[in-house]
Amino acid sequence: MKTLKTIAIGSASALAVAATVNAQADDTLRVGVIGPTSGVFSFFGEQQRMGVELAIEELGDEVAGYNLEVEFYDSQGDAEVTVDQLRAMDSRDDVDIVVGPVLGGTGLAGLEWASGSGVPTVISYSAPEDITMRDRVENVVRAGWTGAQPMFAFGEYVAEELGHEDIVMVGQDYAFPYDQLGGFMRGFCAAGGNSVERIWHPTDTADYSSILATLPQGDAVLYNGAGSDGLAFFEQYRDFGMHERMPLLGGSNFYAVGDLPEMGEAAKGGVSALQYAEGLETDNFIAFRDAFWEMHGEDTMPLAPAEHGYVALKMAVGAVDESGSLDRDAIISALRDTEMEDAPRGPFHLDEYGNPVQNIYINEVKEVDGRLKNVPIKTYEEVSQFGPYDAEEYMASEPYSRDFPPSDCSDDFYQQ
Amino acid sequence: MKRETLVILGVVAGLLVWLLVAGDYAVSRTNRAMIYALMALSFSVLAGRLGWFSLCQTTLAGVSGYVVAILGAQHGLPYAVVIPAAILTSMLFAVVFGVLTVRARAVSFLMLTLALGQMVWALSFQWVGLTGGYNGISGVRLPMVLGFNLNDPRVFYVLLATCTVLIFLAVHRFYNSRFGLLLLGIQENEQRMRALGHPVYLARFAAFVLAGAIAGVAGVFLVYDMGIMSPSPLSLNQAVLVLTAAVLGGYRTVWGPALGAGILITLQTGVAQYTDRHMMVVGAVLALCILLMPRGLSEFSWKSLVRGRRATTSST
Amino acid sequence: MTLDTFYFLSLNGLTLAALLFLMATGLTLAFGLMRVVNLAHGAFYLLGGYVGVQVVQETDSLMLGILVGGLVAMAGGVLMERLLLQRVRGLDLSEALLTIAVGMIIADGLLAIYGGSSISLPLPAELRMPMDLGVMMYPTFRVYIMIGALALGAVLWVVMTRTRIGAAIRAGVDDRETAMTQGINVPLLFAGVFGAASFLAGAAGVIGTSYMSLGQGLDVRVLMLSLVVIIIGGMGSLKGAAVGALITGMVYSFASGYLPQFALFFLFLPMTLILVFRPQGLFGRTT
Repeated sequence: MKTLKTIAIGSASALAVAATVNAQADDTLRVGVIGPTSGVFSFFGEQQRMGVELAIEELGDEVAGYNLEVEFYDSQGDAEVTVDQLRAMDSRDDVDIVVGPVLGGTGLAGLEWASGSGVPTVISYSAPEDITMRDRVENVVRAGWTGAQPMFAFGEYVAEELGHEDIVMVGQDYAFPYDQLGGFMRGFCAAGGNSVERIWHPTDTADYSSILATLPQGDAVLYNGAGSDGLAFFEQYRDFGMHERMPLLGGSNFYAVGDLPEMGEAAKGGVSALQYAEGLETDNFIAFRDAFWEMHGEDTMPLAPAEHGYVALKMAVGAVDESGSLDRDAIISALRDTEMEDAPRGPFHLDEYGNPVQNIYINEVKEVDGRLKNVPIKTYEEVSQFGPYDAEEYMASEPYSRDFPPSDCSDDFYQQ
Repeated sequence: MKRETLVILGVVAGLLVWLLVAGDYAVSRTNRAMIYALMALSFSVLAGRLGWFSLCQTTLAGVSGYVVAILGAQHGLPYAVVIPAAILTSMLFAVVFGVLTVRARAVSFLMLTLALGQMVWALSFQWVGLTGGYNGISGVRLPMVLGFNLNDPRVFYVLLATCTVLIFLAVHRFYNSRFGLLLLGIQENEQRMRALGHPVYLARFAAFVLAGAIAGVAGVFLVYDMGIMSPSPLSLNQAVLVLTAAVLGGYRTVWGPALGAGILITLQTGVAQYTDRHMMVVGAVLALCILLMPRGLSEFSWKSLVRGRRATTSST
Repeated sequence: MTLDTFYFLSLNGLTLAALLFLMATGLTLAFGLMRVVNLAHGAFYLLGGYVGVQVVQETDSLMLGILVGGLVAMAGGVLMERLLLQRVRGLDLSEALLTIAVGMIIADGLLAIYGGSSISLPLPAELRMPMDLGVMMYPTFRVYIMIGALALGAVLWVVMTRTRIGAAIRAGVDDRETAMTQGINVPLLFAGVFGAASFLAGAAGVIGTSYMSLGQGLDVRVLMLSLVVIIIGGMGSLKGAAVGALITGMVYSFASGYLPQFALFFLFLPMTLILVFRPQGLFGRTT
C-alpha cells in the first residue's frame, strides 16, 4: 500500500514536469496525416497521401506566417495502431492539426482519441455517420462524407429515372453498407420504389456462386460493397450470366474505388453515386487532375480518397490562415466555418454538425480517352448528410443496421 | 531469497524513475510494451514449460477485450462485474481450446492453435451483431478513482506496472514450485512422469488455464489502453508479434518475455518513423532469432552461436 | 429447393472443393513426407498469384501464367528450404516458425511491390462461356478447375504409391541414414518435395484468381482454409485432403446459398466436430 502511495505521488509530480516541458515557442504549423499506407486497405491510404502531397506542393513551405510541416503516419488500417499513432502525434511530435483517418473503424478510433485529446481533427474519407452526428465532438470535422449521404440521391434516381421497383441487394455485412443501404432505401421508397430484398454476406466471402444460385428475382441487383469482395462478386455475376437477367447497380465504392481497371470493359454502363467523379469536366477539377498527374504520373487516377486528403489539408491550413494563430479553439471555430467554393469535387460548405453539404453525382462508367471513368450523368446539388430530412428527427431515429430501415416501402417508417 | 528481493526492488525503482523522466509518448509506449510482455508471458508459460507453441494467446486476450467492450461499454455493467467476467471468459476459452488441442503435439499444436485463433478472428470480423465487425466497439473507458483519472497514461502506467510486476512475480514463484517443475518434467519425459503417478493431464490443463488467465488480464489492459475494441488484436500478425517477442527475449525464463516485448516495441516505434515495412522487420527478427539464438537473449551465449546449427528450440 | 438449384449448389461446392484441394495438397504433402508445416504456404499462393496474373496480362497466355506463377513460388520454396530450413533440419518447431517469418516477409514485400488493391485474372472469353453439362449450363473454366483437381489427385497418387520416387521419398522420411547409404540423395529429395509443394501453392494462386479476386490478406485466409481442410482430412494424408476439401466445399456452398450470414460458422463446424471426435482427422494416423 505504501508503494502504491509513493507511485501515485510520483506520477502526479511527473505530470507537472511533463506539462512544463511541453510549453515551447512555436513558429511551425505541424499537420499529422494518418491513413493506411500498408495493409489490406493501403489503396485508400496511398490515394490520400498523394492528394496531400499535391496540396503541400501548392501551399509551399510557408503558410499564414508559419512553416508548414506535414508528417505522414501509417495506421495499417488498424484501430490499435491508429490510436498509437495519434498519441505519437500529440505527445511526441506536438502536432497542431490531424488529417485523417481514412477508414470506418479507424475513423471511430480517431474520434474516440480526438474527443479525449482536443486536437483539431479533419476526418478525410472515413464515413461512419455518428462521427458528425450522434457522437460528434467540437474539435472534429469532416472533409468527406457519410455512408448514407450519396445514397439518398441514388435511391431516388433508381426509382425515378431507371424505373426499378423491386431491388435485390447483396451486401457486405458491416456498418458502412448498412448506412449506404439506409440512405438508399429512404430515397428509393420516397420516390416510388416498392421493396428491397437484402442478402448480407460476411466480409471476405470469396465465393459468391451459391448466393447467385439462390438469388431472388427483381428489377435490378444492387451490390453494396467494394474491394476484393466487390471485384469477386462482379466477376462471378457475369460468369453466371446474371447480367443478362438483372442490371447490376453499385454502392458508392463499387465502381468508384480502385477496382474499375480490373473490372475492365464489362463495367461499362455501371451506375453508382458519390460526391466525387473522376470524369468531371469542370475547370477546378481538370486543374486538380492535371496537377495530380504531373506529380504522380498519368497512370494513377486521382479518386475520392485523394481529393478528400487534398481538401482536408487545405481546410486545415485554411483554418490557421483564417484564425491567424495556432490556438486550438480559434482553429476549431475557423474549421467549422469552412466554405470551399473551388474544391475539385465542386463547391461545398460544412453544416452545423461539421460535415460537408455538397454535390452528389450519379455516375456511369464510360470509356473516355481510352480509360474507364465514372462520368456524372446527373447532379444533385447541396445534399447534406441528412438528405432532405430534418437533422434532429433524423438523429432521433435508430442507427441503420442489418434490418433497419424496413425492406418494404409501404412500412410506416416511410410514411412520416 | 535475498537476491530476489533486491531484483524486485530494482525493477520497481526502475519503473518509478522511468515514470518520472519519460515523456508522455514514451510512457504510453511503455504501457503497450507491458501489455505485450504479459501476452508474451502467457505464451511462454506454455512454450517454456511444456514445449507448446501457441498462436492463440493473443486470441484469448482479444476475447477478454471484447467482453470488456460488450459488457462495459455497450451494456454499462459495473467494473467489478466486467473485469472478472472478461478474465473468466478468457479462461473458459482456454479450457475449450485446451480440450480441442489436448492430443496435439509440437507442430500440430501450432497448426491447430493457428486455425482456432484465426477462426475466432474471422468471427470477430464477421459476427457484426456482437462485435461491431471491422468498426469495433468504441468508448471503452476506465473510471475516476479517488480523484485519479485512470485513463491518463501515467496513472494507467502505475496501475499496469503494479499488475505486471505482481503477475511476473507470481509466475516466477510458480516456475520454482513443485508444480512448475512437474511441467518441465512432463516436457522432458511425459511417460516417466505418468509412470511416477503424476497427474499429467491435469497439470497440463492447469497450465493452459493459467496462461489463459494471464492473457485475459493483458486483454483487459489492452482494451482500456486503446479505448476501442476491434478485430485487429486477434489477427495473425499480432500472434506472430507476441511469439517473436517471447522467442527474442527467451521464453524459457521468466523475464525473457518482458525483455523481448520491450525490445520489439522499441524497435517498432523506431522503425515506424522511417518505413511502412514493419511486418518485414518482425519477420526478419523472428527468422534471425530462430537461426542464431533459438533460446533468446536471456539464455544467449557466444558458444551457442558458434555451435549455432544444432542448438535446440525444443526437446521434442 | 428445386432440382436446378440443387445442381447449381452442388457444382459450386465441387468447384470450391477442387480449389481447396489445389491449395491444401502442397501443405499436406510437405507435412506428410517431411514433417514440415509450411506456414508460408499462403504467402506462396499470393506470390504465385501476383506474378502469374501479371504474366497472363502481358502475354495473354493462361498456361504460361500458371506455369510461371508456380515456378516463382517453387523457387521461393526451394530457396527457403536450402537457405533456412536446412539449418534447423529435424527441429519441427524451428522449421515452422521460420516459415511463419518467411511468410510475413514475402507478404509484406508483395504489398510494397503490388500495392493494396485487388486484382482479377483476365480469362479468355471462351473459358468464361457456359458449357452444357447435361443437367445445366456451367462456366467452362469452373469445369476445367474440377477436372484439373481430379487429374492432379490422380497423378500425385500414382507418383506416391507406384513409382520409385515415391518409394524413395517415403524411405527418406522414415529412415534418413539408411536411405542415404542406399544411394538416395536425401537433401535433393527433400528440396524436390518442397519445391513441388510450393509449385502447387503458386499455381493455385493463379487458378484461384480466376474467380476469387487476389489481394492483401488473402495469404492468411488461404493458409487458414488449407489448415481447415487438412485438419479435417488428417494431416499428411492425400486422401484426407481430397475428402476434407469436398466436405468443406459442399457444406460451405449449401450454407452460403441458404444462410449466407452464417456461412463462416458452417465453414468451421466440420473442423470443430472432427477435433472433438476424431482429433487425428478422418484419414490421419495417430502419432
